[in-house]
Amino acid sequence: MAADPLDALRLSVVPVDPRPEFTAALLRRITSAAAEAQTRMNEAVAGTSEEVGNIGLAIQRALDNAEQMQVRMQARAAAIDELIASGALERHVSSQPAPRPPQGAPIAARVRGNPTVRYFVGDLDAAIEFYCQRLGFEEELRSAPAFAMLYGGGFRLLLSVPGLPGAGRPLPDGTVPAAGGSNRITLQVTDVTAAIAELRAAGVRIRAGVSAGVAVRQALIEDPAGNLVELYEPTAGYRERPSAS
Amino acid sequence: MSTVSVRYIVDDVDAAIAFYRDRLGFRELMHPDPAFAMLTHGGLRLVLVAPVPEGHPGGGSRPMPDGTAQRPGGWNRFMLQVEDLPAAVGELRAAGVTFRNEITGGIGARQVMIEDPSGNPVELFEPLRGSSPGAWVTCLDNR
Repeated sequence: MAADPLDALRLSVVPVDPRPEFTAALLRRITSAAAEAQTRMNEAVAGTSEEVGNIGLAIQRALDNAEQMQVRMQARAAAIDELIASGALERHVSSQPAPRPPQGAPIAARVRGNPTVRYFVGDLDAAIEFYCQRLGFEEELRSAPAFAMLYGGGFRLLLSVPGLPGAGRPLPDGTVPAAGGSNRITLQVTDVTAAIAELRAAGVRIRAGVSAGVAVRQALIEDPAGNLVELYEPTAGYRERPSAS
Repeated sequence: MSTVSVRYIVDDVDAAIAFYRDRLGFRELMHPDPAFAMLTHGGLRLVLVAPVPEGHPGGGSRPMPDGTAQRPGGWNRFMLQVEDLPAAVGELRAAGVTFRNEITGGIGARQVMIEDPSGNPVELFEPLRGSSPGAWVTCLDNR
């Protein structure tokens, strides 16, 4: 039986042959984490523990001591691993520490991390190109031919290929995941008409043109695999939260 | 592009609200219409809509221009990160939640798929700690 091609990803703290764009993006986020940790330390008037200082030192060491990108990434990952293991990072660097759910609250209430969505696509490369070129995502990780991880707009989009290892594996009853369906991500744009015109000109399939809804104008496009992506533009009366009254 | 939401088509909005609130800890932001509700959990905003006929003011769940009705189901889904997957599974099973599979190992995480009352999938995952891409990506996300 052939080895699982995804095994390689489980062995290393960095993706195999990280792409420069991904490395740069990761670097930005790590640097931002370091800056945030530094700010928090500076802000702390009382109760600054040695542990908090160590976080800054560990990250700073990782930032300072490395020359080459590969080495730097490994150093950072090692430092972060250390911090994960100690639990210190979660306690002190987290901008939104996971609130302990009240007694009796569902375990799944402890949601962490960025919102994540998984889409199934038949052609991984075509999907990556679509989301990165047309919708502004950046590629974080590509484990061709079965899996990729994109990031954009504050959330992570996982792409899995039906029938391949990973999330595309058939279910115990033999059912194979597939692209499509009506459920979708919705992305806010400032001008949905212009966005649709641009996408149409680029050859993107428009499933439903711009129409008016309640306090929004919206349209549906398809990715190359036929998954829906909704674009919407807020109009008068739009609100994301209940009114104060 | 600033805000991302996920729209799920459901047969029964009230039943879906109860599921996402009571089983998964979502909070109801608004439910101004029997066919529409907006929930939130962490950084995720979930829009629940029931299919509506052509001409209904709510534009998100009307039939497609070619007449195709929108419906629940499929495989695309949002994912929720939990701290203790087996415990979450035990709790949800005890509550009678439907599972599509058992816990499986993935890249840097283990995961399982459940269904809401309309049959929409929701994936729960627990990142593997230590030297995996999932660990540091998750760590950065949790800042």
